[in-house]
Amino acid sequence: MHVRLFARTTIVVVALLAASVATPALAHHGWAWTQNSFSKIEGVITKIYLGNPHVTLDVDVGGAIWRVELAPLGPTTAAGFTKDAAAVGDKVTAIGNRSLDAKETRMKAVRIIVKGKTYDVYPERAQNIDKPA
Amino acid sequence: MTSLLEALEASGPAAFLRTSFYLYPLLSAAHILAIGATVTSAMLMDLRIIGIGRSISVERVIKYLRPVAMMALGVAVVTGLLLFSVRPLHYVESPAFQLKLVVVFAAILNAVAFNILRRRAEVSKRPLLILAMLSLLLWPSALIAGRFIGFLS
Repeated sequence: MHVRLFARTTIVVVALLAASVATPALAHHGWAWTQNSFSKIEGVITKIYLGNPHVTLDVDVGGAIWRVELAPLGPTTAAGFTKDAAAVGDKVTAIGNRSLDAKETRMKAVRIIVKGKTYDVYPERAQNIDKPA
Repeated sequence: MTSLLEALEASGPAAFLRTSFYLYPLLSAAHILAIGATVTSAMLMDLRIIGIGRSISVERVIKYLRPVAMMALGVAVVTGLLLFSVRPLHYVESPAFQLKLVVVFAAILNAVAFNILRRRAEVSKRPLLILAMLSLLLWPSALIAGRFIGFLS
């Protein structure tokens, strides 16, 4: 009796787990949610979040607000992108991997350029930007 | 509500955590440890109540693990609040975060209900079994929902 109850519970828990894993989740952890190829966007910064766990910029690209995710705070500041690097209203160019969902205005940036300065927040990936595809 | 969250965001600890290199990951680790202890001790009690691990009496299992679960939950709540304070307006919009709060709340209510029922001698074992099974579902669900905060936009 108890064993059967337990078995049933286990089945429900496993089903729940499977259901949550199967959700078409759009991550900001990792790169599973992004395209493999690079995209480039240009716009004006409307918001900067320079903090843990990830640095993000909101960028107005011709009226559409893009969420540009950079590296975690440590690597981002190590790349030189500190609080003095950019301000709201600055023009920014972001090169990185956009969401697989074409309707989603979200990108994981590898390189950003502000006021003529280049910040490679994922240096190993940024190496591949200039290589022919 | 929004002004409360803005005040939290502007608070000293939040500002410090936002830019700290060591403290934020350490706090994150403490949060994980506390959640692990909460969920594990709750599940061990639930399993014993539904009949797994009969070598120890239900009373002894509960006597040992309930304080562990409560203390761990307290640590999880405090560390969670601190992690939340870094970006409160961002997290409240996260569906995974919202779901996690609801599930944690339900799991706590379930535990309170269990304790009230257990003290009454006239209550049969069946409702207690059902609550234990519910608990066995709710705590891991809270953990899963929490894990998805970092993965859902």
